[in-house]
Amino acid sequence: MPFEGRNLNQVSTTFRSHLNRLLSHTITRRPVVVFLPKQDEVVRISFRQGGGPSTATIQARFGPMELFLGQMCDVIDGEHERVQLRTRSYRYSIMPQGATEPLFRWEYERFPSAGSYWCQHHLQGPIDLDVGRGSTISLNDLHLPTGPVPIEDVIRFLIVDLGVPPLDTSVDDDGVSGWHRRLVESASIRSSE
Amino acid sequence: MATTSVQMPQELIDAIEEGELSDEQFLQLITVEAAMIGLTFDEAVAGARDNTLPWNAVGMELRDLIKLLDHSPVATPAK
Repeated sequence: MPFEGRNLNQVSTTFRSHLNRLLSHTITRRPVVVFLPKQDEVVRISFRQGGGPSTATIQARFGPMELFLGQMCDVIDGEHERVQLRTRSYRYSIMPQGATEPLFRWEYERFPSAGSYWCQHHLQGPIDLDVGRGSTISLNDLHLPTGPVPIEDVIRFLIVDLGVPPLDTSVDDDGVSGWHRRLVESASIRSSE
Repeated sequence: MATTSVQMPQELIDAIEEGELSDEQFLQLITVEAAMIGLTFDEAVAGARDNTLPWNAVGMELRDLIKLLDHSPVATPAK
């Protein structure tokens, strides 16, 4: 079931609350901020501090890293005169502290500009790939297809693969970790976005 | 390109916290964020379009905000 509401303002506020609850139970207590940079058309969702763009610092097993989360959303008509939140673009990146560019960038553009034929969902990063005959190419020069990447999967990657300690350390009677249950429930809610 | 200490005007912070910016405030936001990385509005727009902005939080935010200008009737900040 996607996020629905009376208008963009209401549905984006609901989504912000949902995302902030998810973040605060998994990897960071820094909340995202939602605002309409162009009235009644799109909302911007990202970390901000003191008004300015920001990242969330996370402690990976390899050292501190900076998570950037940015989404643009709009709405499409839903049922019963309600609207449904739709992702127009996302950019999630993970950058080791002190680096000059992110290690990984997951990006999506629903409406790429004319002449942009690259894969709309893609992964980039300053990673040299051995392409044979002694040649390498940077992953930054490619748009490696990924399919849609929900923020839940980025959070899962941070906890499981990069060793970021989850904030919710509870375990239920079935032995399921609280952070994991939150991710599964959230992904289920957002699965039809 | 490091981030410099540029103060965000309080009315802009308030507008962001309230969740809604006017067209004029939107352009002001891009201007202030461009200044945070030592650029003018026009330099930031050019940098976003040719993908040369820094890959820090400000640079990535500007890339996304500036895309909205391409669909906006308001294309330049008030002088």
